[in-house]
Amino acid sequence: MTDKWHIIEKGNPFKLTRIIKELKEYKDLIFLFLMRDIKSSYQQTILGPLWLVIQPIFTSIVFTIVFGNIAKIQTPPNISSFAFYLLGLSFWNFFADCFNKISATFVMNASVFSKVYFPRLTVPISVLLSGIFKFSIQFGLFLIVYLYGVIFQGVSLMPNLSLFLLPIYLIALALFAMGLGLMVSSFTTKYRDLTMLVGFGIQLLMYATPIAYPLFAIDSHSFIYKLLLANPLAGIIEGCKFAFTSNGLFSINLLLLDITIILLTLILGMYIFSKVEKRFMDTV
Amino acid sequence: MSSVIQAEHISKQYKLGFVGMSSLADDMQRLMAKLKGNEDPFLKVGEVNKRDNSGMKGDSKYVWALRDVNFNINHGEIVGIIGKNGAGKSTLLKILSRVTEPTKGKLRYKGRLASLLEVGTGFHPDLSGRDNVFLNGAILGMKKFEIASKLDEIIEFSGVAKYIDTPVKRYSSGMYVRLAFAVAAHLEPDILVIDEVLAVGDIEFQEKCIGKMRDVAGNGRTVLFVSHNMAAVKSLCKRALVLQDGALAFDGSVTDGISYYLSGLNASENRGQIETHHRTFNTGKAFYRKIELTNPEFVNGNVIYFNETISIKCEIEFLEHYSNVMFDVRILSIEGIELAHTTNAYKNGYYNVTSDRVYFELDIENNFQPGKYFLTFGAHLSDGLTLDYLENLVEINILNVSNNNSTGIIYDFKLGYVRPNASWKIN
Repeated sequence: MTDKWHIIEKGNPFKLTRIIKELKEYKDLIFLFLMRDIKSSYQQTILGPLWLVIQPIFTSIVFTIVFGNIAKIQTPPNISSFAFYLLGLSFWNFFADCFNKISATFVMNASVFSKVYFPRLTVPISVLLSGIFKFSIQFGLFLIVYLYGVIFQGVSLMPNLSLFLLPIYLIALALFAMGLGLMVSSFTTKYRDLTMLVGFGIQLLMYATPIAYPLFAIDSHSFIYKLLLANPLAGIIEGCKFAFTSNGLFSINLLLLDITIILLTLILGMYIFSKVEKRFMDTV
Repeated sequence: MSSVIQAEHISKQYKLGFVGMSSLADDMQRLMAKLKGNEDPFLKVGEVNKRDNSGMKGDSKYVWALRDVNFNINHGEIVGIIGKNGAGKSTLLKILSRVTEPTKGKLRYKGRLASLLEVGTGFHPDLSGRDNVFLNGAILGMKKFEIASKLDEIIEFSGVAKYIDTPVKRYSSGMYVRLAFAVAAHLEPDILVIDEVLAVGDIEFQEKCIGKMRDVAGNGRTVLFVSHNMAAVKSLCKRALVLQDGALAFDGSVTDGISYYLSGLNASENRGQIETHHRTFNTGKAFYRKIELTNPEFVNGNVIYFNETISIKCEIEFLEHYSNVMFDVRILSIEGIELAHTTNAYKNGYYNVTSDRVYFELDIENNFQPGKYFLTFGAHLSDGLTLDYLENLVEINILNVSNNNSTGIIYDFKLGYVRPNASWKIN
């Protein structure tokens, strides 16, 4: 037997290469977790994955009524307000769903984690993948509504080349959800206080992100505007909307800054997570 | 023989009580010490882990579940880990299976290690048996193609082929466990760490499991087996580690290890002394004052090896002297059935009491099946008058291991109460 020694002791150093190597060995598990999530989500429902479509439709209807008809917030001219909300919601749901689920990684999986070792990051990664599955359905719904508007309602098509950045936006949202989620899940193993915060925090965060309103509805010199831009999600979501409407804020500098913040969050999250995963069983 | 597992000074500390403000305060102190470059202040405190409060000097919030455990396991060894509840077995298992890390010390192992602390870890109730086989296999460290190549074997072993495409939440608990064990049994790691997962399913399946374990062990794999089932430990392992209060108390052959463990059960308390205050009936003329079980291995855990003669010593006080006394001892099943009865009168006739204190010693042949029994003591007169009667005074536990190296199988299950001496001739 010529294998190398595996060493278990307190405070193994945090090495990204080792983490990635280990995850590669367990890629089958990531895939199986993904299948489990997808298969089990809509067991014993009649409409099944249709629920993924129903939720954004109803939310968009409510947004159209509350923000469009009652609050009279203008949406960009070259898209129906219904499609505008669907667009924002598909990206937002992706982020919020992933963040929410990843935050619960340790608490939800305590019984499995306490019995067997496998790289714990497989769980959040599979959450992201199943998030992408759900996103593609919701995004598909948006595309249908968008193209319907173009073809049947004569809304002029105003996409631009920044459409090619969409995958990057999506990855950025995924990584941000992961970074934040890993931090929250690490902190909640011992002190559950953050769980309470996350519960309503995600709701509030949505209003701090231009989902239910376009960014141009806010005075660009106001303090609130600057505060909003401090939220890395704002720049990314605006980018998504700009790609389809050519209307909104598109700034490479802002995006680069947002992505930097997101990457730092991710690294920090992974670092804290790797510290906690080895002894969370003692405190969870 | 090359070493595949090395444990060096493994220690694990746990905090007692709830997580709250006080633990936050401790965390702050720990953080301050770390920033100053000092050692964690709470590593110096902490006590030996005793679950009852005995032996607790102070009221420390910290206990050491494991303290300075060292051992070395060679390739292909099958090692049993035994110890009382609270001795640190589970903590050691958790460290071995990488579920938690040691507070101090280092553990090293070579090759692929799989641990089975539970069967069916990660089974999802809504998924079919087949999907769960894949999921559970992958959680235990198998690759998808490995599982796929063994899928037929696993399904066949589990005996639930007909239900394999039904969600496991519809399974009976027996089917569930069979399927789960079937996956586990087809793991092929270099090192296998197993908790008492064998105690599952019906007897037929348990036999199958033990057989499978023996195959696994025979294939040159290193196996660590934690169990309370001495019969299983004895039949599977060659070497035993005995844990006591978080420390490694014994490391050697499995036979010596088991007797070390059994003799250590409650060894600190009075050996064999039985309280005699709970009498069922008394005439005020005679009293059992002292009853003692004197088996060499007998301890207050009331354990007796299979087939080991039961030895009893008694002291009885007489306030009046009778010439026709009969002492008797009955052995009852836990259901209260009188299984055996012995008295001095059967062989030697009645006893003539001439002094205030009478002592007798008694050896009872032990043909009982493993399990729990009660002893009842009595003193009577020949005309049937009972002087003193202590019903179901003490519970004894006949083990499923014998203290000699008999080759026969002592089944863990009980059929009947007595195993009579019988000679079998089979052609």
